[in-house]
Amino acid sequence: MLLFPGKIIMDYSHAAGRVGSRFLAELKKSKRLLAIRCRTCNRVYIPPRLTCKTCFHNMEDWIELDGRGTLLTYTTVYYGEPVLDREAPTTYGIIRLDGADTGLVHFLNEVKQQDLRVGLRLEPVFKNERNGNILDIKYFRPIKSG
Amino acid sequence: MAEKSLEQVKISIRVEIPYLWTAGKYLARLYNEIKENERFVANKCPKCGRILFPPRIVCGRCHVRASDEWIELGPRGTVKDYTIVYYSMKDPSTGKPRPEPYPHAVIVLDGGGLIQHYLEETDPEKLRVGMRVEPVFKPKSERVGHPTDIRYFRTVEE
Amino acid sequence: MRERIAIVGVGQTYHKSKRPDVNDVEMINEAVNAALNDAQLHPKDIDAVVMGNIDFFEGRYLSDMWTVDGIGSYLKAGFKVHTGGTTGGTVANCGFFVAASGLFDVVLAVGYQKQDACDSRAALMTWSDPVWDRHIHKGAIGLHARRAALYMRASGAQEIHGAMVRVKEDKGACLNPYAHLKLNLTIEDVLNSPPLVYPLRRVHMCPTSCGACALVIATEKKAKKISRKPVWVKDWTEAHLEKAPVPGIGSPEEEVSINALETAATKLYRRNGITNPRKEIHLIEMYGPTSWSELQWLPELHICDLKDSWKLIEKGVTEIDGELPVNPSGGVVATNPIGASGTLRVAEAALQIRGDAGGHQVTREVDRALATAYGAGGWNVVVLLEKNL
Repeated sequence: MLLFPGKIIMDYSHAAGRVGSRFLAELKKSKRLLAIRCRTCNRVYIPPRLTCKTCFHNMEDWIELDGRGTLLTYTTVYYGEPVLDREAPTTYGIIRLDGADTGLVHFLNEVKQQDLRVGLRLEPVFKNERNGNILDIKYFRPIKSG
Repeated sequence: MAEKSLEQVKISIRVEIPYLWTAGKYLARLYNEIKENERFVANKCPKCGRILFPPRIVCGRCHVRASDEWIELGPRGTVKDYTIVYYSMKDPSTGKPRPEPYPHAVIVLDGGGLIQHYLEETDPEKLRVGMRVEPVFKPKSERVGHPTDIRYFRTVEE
Repeated sequence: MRERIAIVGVGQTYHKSKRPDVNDVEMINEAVNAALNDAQLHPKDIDAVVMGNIDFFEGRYLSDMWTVDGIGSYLKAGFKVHTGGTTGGTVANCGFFVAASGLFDVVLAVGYQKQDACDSRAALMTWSDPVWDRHIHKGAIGLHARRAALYMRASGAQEIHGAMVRVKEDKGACLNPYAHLKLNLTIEDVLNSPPLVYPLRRVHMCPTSCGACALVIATEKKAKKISRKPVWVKDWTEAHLEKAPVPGIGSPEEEVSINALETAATKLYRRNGITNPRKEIHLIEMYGPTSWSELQWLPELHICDLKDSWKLIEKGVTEIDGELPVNPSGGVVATNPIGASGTLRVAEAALQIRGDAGGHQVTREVDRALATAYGAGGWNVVVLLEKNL
């Protein structure tokens, strides 16, 4: 029985698109987080997208969020993945930003494992060198009290 | 037209995935024969009688199990068709293109069975349908049981 | 027992080699909105969705999930299909199957491809068998070059005939606002175009395009309510080869002809009492990946003998003002968003029957049209559309 080890190597370039580009360009330029709102059902999406999933409108109403949010759920991953830009273990969670109706998935850091809890208040930490990528947000951390 | 001035963000990603493909026992037999004995082997459909090359478990037309009787083909053959490739194309196995131009042929092995492969002869004036060719194998020490154990086919005078 | 069905809405994007301004979802949404507008429907009127693309070209698996918001398929029934180059045609066919089942009244079928995401010629080569012939594979171009060379030898056609077909396709594309390549070609331009793989020159080969196409399909009762000009989907057939007709794996007789197309067409004609396709079919939108395909495959569709197909282009029969126009839209050679290319053939044939094709509307009256789809994977799809029920 013969086995053939091989590879598939492909380079891709994905357009962020009309809506995604605006979000990423603004993130890169000014660290501002933009969400988009459906006029019919008032649902606010972040990351923003073209259509509302239930109303199917092409959304146009942009809203700026202040970046703070609440932790909805989280977990810790103890193994590395070649596509990730950071080493294991990594902790990530789903965060509902204030003013948004959707959850944003991102890394959590500057927090001890025993201090993690649903409902934790969080804020984003940005990279200094940003290039228009969701990882221009390095991670979220607990809001420092006071 | 605020849209026009909007920055168009692109995300570039290289996808590099390792695979492990299984030849299966029929193909493995062919590759082992190439590796060990520089021979091409095939099996047959017991119903329609056609040669199954590369060998396989079932005839896709008759839906019957192929026979376990093995026949030897070639190694010489006749060029059935050829073309010359003038543009470089990325090979997804390496992410790199191969040098061009190069001749590429479909060869009918003596006894039956088609194989596509490169030709040693690169002069278009000397290429013709019907020319007789034989495979040039890598030295035995370099053969691993893979189609690339055959380097190319070269012209033979008969 | 099946429902009678009709196409009641068609929509497409404009097609280009690159669309950096939109992502996949936004691009698809343009075609879906156009089709819904054409049918005067809202997504809530759609009961089921069929979609398709070649995943590997966008490098994103599960395209059916990622495109839900652009298509409007949230919480709807449906599925994704992928049959290589044939995908767009299979998308249409599966839309017909779902609508004809009687389980749904209105079905949306969407094909798309965004080929600016990668080198899709390289991605295409992953169709080949990694164990047997990936090391030697040349993608679609080599396969079609060899077929064209074999056709020339068998029929007596000359290089000029491939060029004449290319110029005819370009004339159509220049009249089609959605077409991708509009080159204003002359015969000399084609004959002087750089060779790729003999006898194929660069302009003979279909481009890599970004675009999407959507069809709204409805059962008879609904169709009559929705549209003043429903285009009836009389029948549709498919046939498949044993394996890709790539001679690494394959049989000699499967090289010259793609007999799966002939099989699918024969079945379709027999089921619908068509005995003289040359007269009874009024227009063909054929999935031809090169300018030679039309010449090779009109005989497979029983339009003429192999030795006569190049005479049809010489006599102007297949021109936009001819007796049997073929690819008045410019065809796949002008516009090739692969996962949508087969869907576009059906959409364009439907528009010609409606008389709504615009600049590239053919001169003759079209009561009955064929649309085909092809893929090197071996699927061949033939669709029969009619003006009258």
